[in-house]
Amino acid sequence: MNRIKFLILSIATLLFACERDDICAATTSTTPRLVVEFYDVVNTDDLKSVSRLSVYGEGLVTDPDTSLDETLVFNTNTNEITLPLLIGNENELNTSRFILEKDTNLRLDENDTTNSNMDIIEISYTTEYVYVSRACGYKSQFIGLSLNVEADSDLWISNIEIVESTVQDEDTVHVRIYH
Amino acid sequence: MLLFSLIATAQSEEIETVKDTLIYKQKYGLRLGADISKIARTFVDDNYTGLELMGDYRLTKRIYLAGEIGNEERTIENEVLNNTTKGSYFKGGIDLNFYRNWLDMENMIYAGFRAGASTFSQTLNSYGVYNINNQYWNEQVSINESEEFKGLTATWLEIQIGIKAEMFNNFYAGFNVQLKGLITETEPNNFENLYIPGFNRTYDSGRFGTGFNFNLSYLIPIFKKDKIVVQEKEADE
Repeated sequence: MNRIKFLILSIATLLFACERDDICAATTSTTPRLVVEFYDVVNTDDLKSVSRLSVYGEGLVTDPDTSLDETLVFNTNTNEITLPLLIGNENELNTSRFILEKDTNLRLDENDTTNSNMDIIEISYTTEYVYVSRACGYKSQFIGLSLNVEADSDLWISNIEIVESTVQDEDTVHVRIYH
Repeated sequence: MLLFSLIATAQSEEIETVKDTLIYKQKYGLRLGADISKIARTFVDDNYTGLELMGDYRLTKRIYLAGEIGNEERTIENEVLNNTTKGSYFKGGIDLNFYRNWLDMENMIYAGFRAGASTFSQTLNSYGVYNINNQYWNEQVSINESEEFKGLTATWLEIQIGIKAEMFNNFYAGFNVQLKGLITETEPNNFENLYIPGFNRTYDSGRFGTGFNFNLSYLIPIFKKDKIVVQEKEADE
């Protein structure tokens, strides 16, 4: 009897709930970036690296001389880039603009007669918030993707193809750029 | 005294036994109580308000009809969201007493089986959009318009292991732990049930939940039944 009383009291005092806060695991798929691959404009099935490419959000930095936080890639030969999109308000048309600078080395070198070629792309989409979990909250996905290259006299981008118009995760390529 | 023990040892070779029948009065009735832990937590925890009333009715020597009724309001708050669940629940089932009581005592070590049902609402007070790349555009998206999800329901099955002890006349204190398995739930659109009144918090990993209860209760005796105990006893000379 006394033992039971003791047990009741001790367990009751022990069990005043301590809840562990959940942590959003890094492996959880949350707000995805836009995955872009570069293809050859002639042999359209072949991946083709862009020479000395630098990519950065418009307005974040101008003419970077070194790799910065704002440069997603800098002065690198690559055939794939991933672009973090502005989320903006839900169910509204939002846009993100990036500068894709080809031949960055020509701007950086001593020779003033040659320069890099900057093309600006504008990505438009509608934002949608999707529930993930109690630890991660909501993520954003982007639907109705469209992509335009801002006109200039010397474009190195020839064509753009949207492979996946809904950006839900980073497992698939969403956009192909031919050059 | 000394004389007695001498006699006892002298006779130990040839003890005669007779059957002795003892009769204890056992109280049967309605026991009503409340979960003290929920009341205490209401005062201590700003994010919790709750009350649970419980009752059992003794059917046989070992079987009790038992149930709980309650109301809870719980706010779950973390870095990414803030949600308030409000609602009521009912649990009904039986308790099986496994404890062999001494003499006229009426304590319990029991296993309880319950079916539970809850109706509730969730209000998502605020949330954030999780983006590991948000430092790129230096954008933090958080939404502070609250959204209410009404008419949510859930049902579950529950096993309880607990004890109840008579502290003094007709007044009991008890404790139990609960393991629950969710059977059905209505999920809100583009959200989930983070907390279900009576079921407690849900887990991402599965349909199981846990709980505990620290209760005080009072037995209203309705009738008495005899408990007959047959003992082997040394024969008196």
